[in-house]
This record gives sequence, C-alpha cells and structure tokens, in this order.
Amino acid sequence: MLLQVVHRGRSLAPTLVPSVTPPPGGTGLGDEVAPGVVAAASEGDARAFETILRHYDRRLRVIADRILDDRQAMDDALQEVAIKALRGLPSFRGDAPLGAWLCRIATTTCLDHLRRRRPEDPTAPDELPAARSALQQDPADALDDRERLLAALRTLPPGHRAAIVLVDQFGYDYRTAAETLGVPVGTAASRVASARARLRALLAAGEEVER
Amino acid sequence: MTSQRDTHLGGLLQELPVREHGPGYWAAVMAAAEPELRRHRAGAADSEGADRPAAHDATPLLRRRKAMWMAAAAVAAAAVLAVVVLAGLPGADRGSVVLGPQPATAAEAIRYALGALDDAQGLEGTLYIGKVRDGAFSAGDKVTFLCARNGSYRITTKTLGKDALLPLPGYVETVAYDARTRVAQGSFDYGEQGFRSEVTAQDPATGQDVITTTITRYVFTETHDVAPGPPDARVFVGSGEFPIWQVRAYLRTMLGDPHIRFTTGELNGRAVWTLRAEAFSAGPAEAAAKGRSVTVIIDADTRLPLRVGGFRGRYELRVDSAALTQAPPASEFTLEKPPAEETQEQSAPSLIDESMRFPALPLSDPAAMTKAVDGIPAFPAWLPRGFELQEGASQAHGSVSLPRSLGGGSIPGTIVSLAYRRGFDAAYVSVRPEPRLTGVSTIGPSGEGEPEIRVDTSDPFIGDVSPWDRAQWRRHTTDVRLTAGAFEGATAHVIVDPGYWPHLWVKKDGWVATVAGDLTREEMVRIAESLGPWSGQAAE
Repeated sequence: MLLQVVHRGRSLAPTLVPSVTPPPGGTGLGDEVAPGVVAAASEGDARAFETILRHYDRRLRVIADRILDDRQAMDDALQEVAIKALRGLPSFRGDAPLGAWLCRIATTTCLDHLRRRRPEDPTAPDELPAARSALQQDPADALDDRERLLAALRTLPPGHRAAIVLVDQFGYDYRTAAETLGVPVGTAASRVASARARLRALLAAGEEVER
Repeated sequence: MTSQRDTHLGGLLQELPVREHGPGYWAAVMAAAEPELRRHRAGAADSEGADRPAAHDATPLLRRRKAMWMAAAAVAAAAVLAVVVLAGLPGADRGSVVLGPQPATAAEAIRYALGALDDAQGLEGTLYIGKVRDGAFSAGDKVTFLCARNGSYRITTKTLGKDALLPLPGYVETVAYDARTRVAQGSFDYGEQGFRSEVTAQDPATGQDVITTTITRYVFTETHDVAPGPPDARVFVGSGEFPIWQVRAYLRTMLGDPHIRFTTGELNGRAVWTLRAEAFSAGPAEAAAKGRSVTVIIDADTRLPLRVGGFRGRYELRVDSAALTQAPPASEFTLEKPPAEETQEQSAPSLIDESMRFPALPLSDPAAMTKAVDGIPAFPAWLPRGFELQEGASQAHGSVSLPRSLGGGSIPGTIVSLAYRRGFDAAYVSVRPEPRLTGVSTIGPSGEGEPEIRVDTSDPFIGDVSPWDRAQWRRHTTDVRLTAGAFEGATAHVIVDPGYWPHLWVKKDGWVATVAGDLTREEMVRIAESLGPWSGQAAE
C-alpha cells in the first residue's frame, strides 16, 4: 500500500512525540461523573456526553496510547469508543462504575484495532526489535527512566500491556482487569505477572548497559 | 482493591507521558456522535416517562465542568458548530469527518490551506511524484522531507522509475540546510552507474592534455556562509524546488484567480477540499502545456495537500504521509558523509564562485551594522504582520564575477541578503549592485501569432530559466511603478508564476532589489516601496 494516501500523523519518535506530564491526581480513578449527567447524555444531550468523554479522557488515552502507541490510531480508536459508549449508554445500569465500563470498551476496541491492522502497516507493532535495540543502545545515548520504560513496554504483547496498565497503573484488581480485558481471571493474573517480570528484566538490562 | 498492584511499577507507569489528541479531535468526535445523539433525543421525546429531572439536575454540574474546560475547548467548540452545520452534506459521515474550519469559497479554502503550518514547529512526511497511466499511478520519485520553522530542511529524493522528474536509475539525492549554522549540504548517490567526472591536465613531459576520468558513486557538497536567500541560489533553489512549497505557490497563484472551482468531497475516506484551475500555467518546465488543468486536493483535517494533478505539467503528486511535529533537533539537518573512497567531495557547488560567501550581518550590533551596510537601500520599513528578520548576510569582496546562472557580469560592491520569517513563511529581500554586463535578451515567438518577447536579464531569478521558458515567465510578469521608498519612480516587475517562488525585482541608481517568498503581489510591492538604508529599527 505504498502509494495509498494516508495521513498517519506520526511524529518523530521518541523525542518528538507530543507528550504531557500526568496532572496531579493521575488518572482520576474513583472520580465519577454525576448520574444526572449520564442520564442527560443518554437522552441525547451533547454537552453532557462531551462532559463524560472529557472527564474520562485521560484514562482512556492512557489505555489507547499504551496499546496502540500511535496518536492517529489512538484518536481513531477512541472515536469509536465514544460512539460505542453513546450507543450503550441507555442500557448502562450502573452496576459498575462508568469509568470502568468505558475502560472496558476502550480496551477491547483498541485490541480489536490492533488485530485489524494489516501486516504491512508500518504502525503495526512490528517495532519491537527497534524497541529492544533502544534498550541496548550505546551508553552515550542513555535513555532516561521514562523513555526506558516506554521502550520496555513496547516489547510486551498488547494484551500484556493493557493488563499491567489496568492493574499496576489504574489499581484494578485481577477480577476487574479480567472483565475489562474479556479474559479469565487466571489469564489476566498471568499476563500481569509475565509483564512485570519482563519489564523488570528489561529495565535492569537497560541499567546494566548504562553502567 | 490495590493489594494486587505493584505500586513501584504503577508509580513509574503513572509518570509516563501520554499522547494528546490530534488537532480537531473533539470536533470530530462530536460530529461523529451527532447522528446517534439525535436518535437518543428522538427516543427520549417519544418516551412518556423520560427522566426529565435528571437532565435538569445535570445543569449545575455541566456549568462547573464547562468553566473548567471552556477555555481549552473554545476553538474546538467553534469547529463543532461548523461541523454540525455541515453534517448533512454528502460525504460528511464517519470516515470523512470534517475537523477544522469549513471554507465556503475557493479563496477561503486556499487561505486555510496556506495557514496549515502557522503553529507548526516541524513538518515531516513522504510524497511521491509520478504519472497516471491507464488509470494507475506510476511513481517516479519518492520524496521524504523534514522541515523546521527556522528554515532548516532535509529533503531526500529517490528515483523510482522512468516517470521520475530526473530519470536516472538508482539516483538518490539528499539536500540539507541548517539555518542555525548556515551550512548547506548535498549528498548525491548515482547508484551503480556512478558519477563520471573528467579532469584535464597538461602532461609536463609531452605538453599534451591528459584527460583523467574518475567514476564515483557519490558526490558530496558542503558550503558554509550560505546566504539565506537570493541572490545566492543554493538554499533558495533547494527549498524552492521542494514540492510542498511548490504546491503552496500553486495555491497562491490560484488565490488571484476568480475562476477556480472549489468542491468538497472524500478521498480514501478522508474529507477533502478540491481546487481545480483550468488553463492554469503549470510552470516554465511545461511552457507548451499552457491551458492544462491543475487540481489540488487538500485534506480538510490537516489542511495539507494530499494530491496534485497536473503537477509540473504532466505529473501527479501524491502525499503518502505528512505530519506536524515538534521542533526537530538540529542534528537532523546535518548529513553524514558517504564512504570517502567512493565519494567525490566538492567544497562548493560548481555553480557558485568560491568567493561568493556571505558572512552573517551583525544584526545585534547597531554600530557594526551601520558600518557594514551603510547607504545600501536593502531594508524594508514595512513587512506583513508577523514577519521578523531572522537571518542577514552580506558579501563585500569588491568586484567579483557572477555566474551566468545569476545573470552574469560582475559585482562591484556589497550584496545584502535578508530573510524574514513568520513561521514557515519566508520573505526574502536582497539588494545588489546592478551587474555591468546585463542587458536585454530577445526571445523569438513561442507560438504562432505571438510577438517577440524581450526579457531584461537583470532579474537575478531568471538566470536559471531557459530562453524557451522565459517567454512564459514574461507573460506572468506585471509591471508596477513604485511610488515610495528608495526605488520610487522605478518600474518593479512582479512575477507570480506557479513554477517559481513569487518575486519582484526592480532596479534604480545602479542597484537591483528583489523581494520574494511567501507573499502576495500586493505585499511584495508594498515591501519594495518601503526599502531604504539601515535605520537601526525593525520593520513595522
């Protein structure tokens, strides 16, 4: 698809990737919008719906960015998440927090996006060798901690990335993470354990290289 | 709930940066959501027991939220309105969601497109130039580019096939300019065929000429003290030939044409604006092709060009990817030298005399500036809003020869070359003594019934134009009598041709001045009418 007209919106990685430092308060977990806003959105109130999206936006971006690692893909996936959520709002019963519900939609949507990527798509996760080499590069080009962790994350399978973000960053327990990922609890726990082990090993290797 | 959490790793993950949305994201989401929201509204209205109080209860919270993000969302909200208004248009559904401001006319679309880079620090991407044969695109050149707001660039052009602009099999050319250091480099890979050069020397024993032929794969050039613009062609030509900039020149030319057709539509799932010009002059390379149509397709989201039909006449340009970036590191604009054993290294392009070096002007030292440029009418008192003087250079070696490509003749005194920038837009002003050996070039009729054309070769831009193409050049020239400034009373020649950077040139009292760049005809004239000696003050 060499000649297909596609604006992928990719930036120069990694130093030029637009990024922000997480604001105080992190992901805002536990801070849910009022039920009235949900009701208004489910009746078609655009302002209420946008309020919901913006309220949970950072959390959803964390999931999409970690899984897809591409801004354009992230935006495409989150747009799909928004529409799915809007369609599902009238049937949302509040059995689980709205944020968790949205995160589940986001996680499955992003993983679906990843599966749909064609093999020749340069934004597909075939950058793992590059990420590995980034961890093993010359000490003169030593990565800082965050870059090293990002590079290490890129070496994980997407499902493992999602699992460790949900459990270790968001603080979900294994059961909630499993529901979000749509996998058995044992699988979720296994993915988290595997991801942790691999990240620790890669981070240690990176530090070793720097020394 | 957190007992299963690795808090150390979680803390590290929490500190990781997260990408922001691309421009126009919120507008796109809300536009895509609007049909579904309408369905919800309709459903709520049909439902007798709708939860009305809940909707009203939301209002105070909405106000609080609104206060929190209103400032950040103001622009997006305006875009949402525009999108909602257009939601009923064909092709405005998902997949062609319109993100930014929506033009109603060709002029608006062009202005939006020209403003696409206003806030960008860098632009990178890949495009292809080729021909359409039997409905299929045949790529001839692949161009990858990286440009910075300060004028630095790196452009690589790779020949892919017979439909290339320069059909040399295996040829790869990379040109780079670092505006910070004013060093220009070129690396030219001639592939397996190599680059053949011949050196003739006299054999001292026999007195006969001996020709030595060498073939190297690479040629590498590096020049220092490059002038930021005319009359030094090195940087100017490099960026002026950059296709994206040429498309911007096309758009500027279209801006003055009331017959441009403007439509909105969709291309490969993207909302686009299409501008079509009939009988469009496609530049001097296609002098015989006057009347050919040109179609510029703009991505409505990024406002960057996606496709240009009729590019440089018979070519088609297709943008594969284009992205605004943060400021690229300066190291991106320095090329690695190819292997020495396979390279012919040239310290300067043969086109330019070695003595044509342009040391930087001491812009921050008023006294030194006065001494360096005293009395030279090179400094505009007016520039369009936002332009600032970024680079200034002069050449003061006394009488030197100018290459034929720059009009020939010799220069008895100081040349001043100035570059003003407003983001990615550049305005160049130069003043040089009038070459002694310039004159009028007579060109025969280029078509039946057409008169002979006379071209004054004092125009420093015309040196690289073949006599055949000069006829078309002349047809795109408008003469304007200047009414103010150091060149008051002289006739300025304004050339707005899609094949060249728009420019103006005027001569008076032994000086030739040029104004060029990303400017309209009116702006060039007004700048020329404000030229005068250095006053130690910035332009208005």
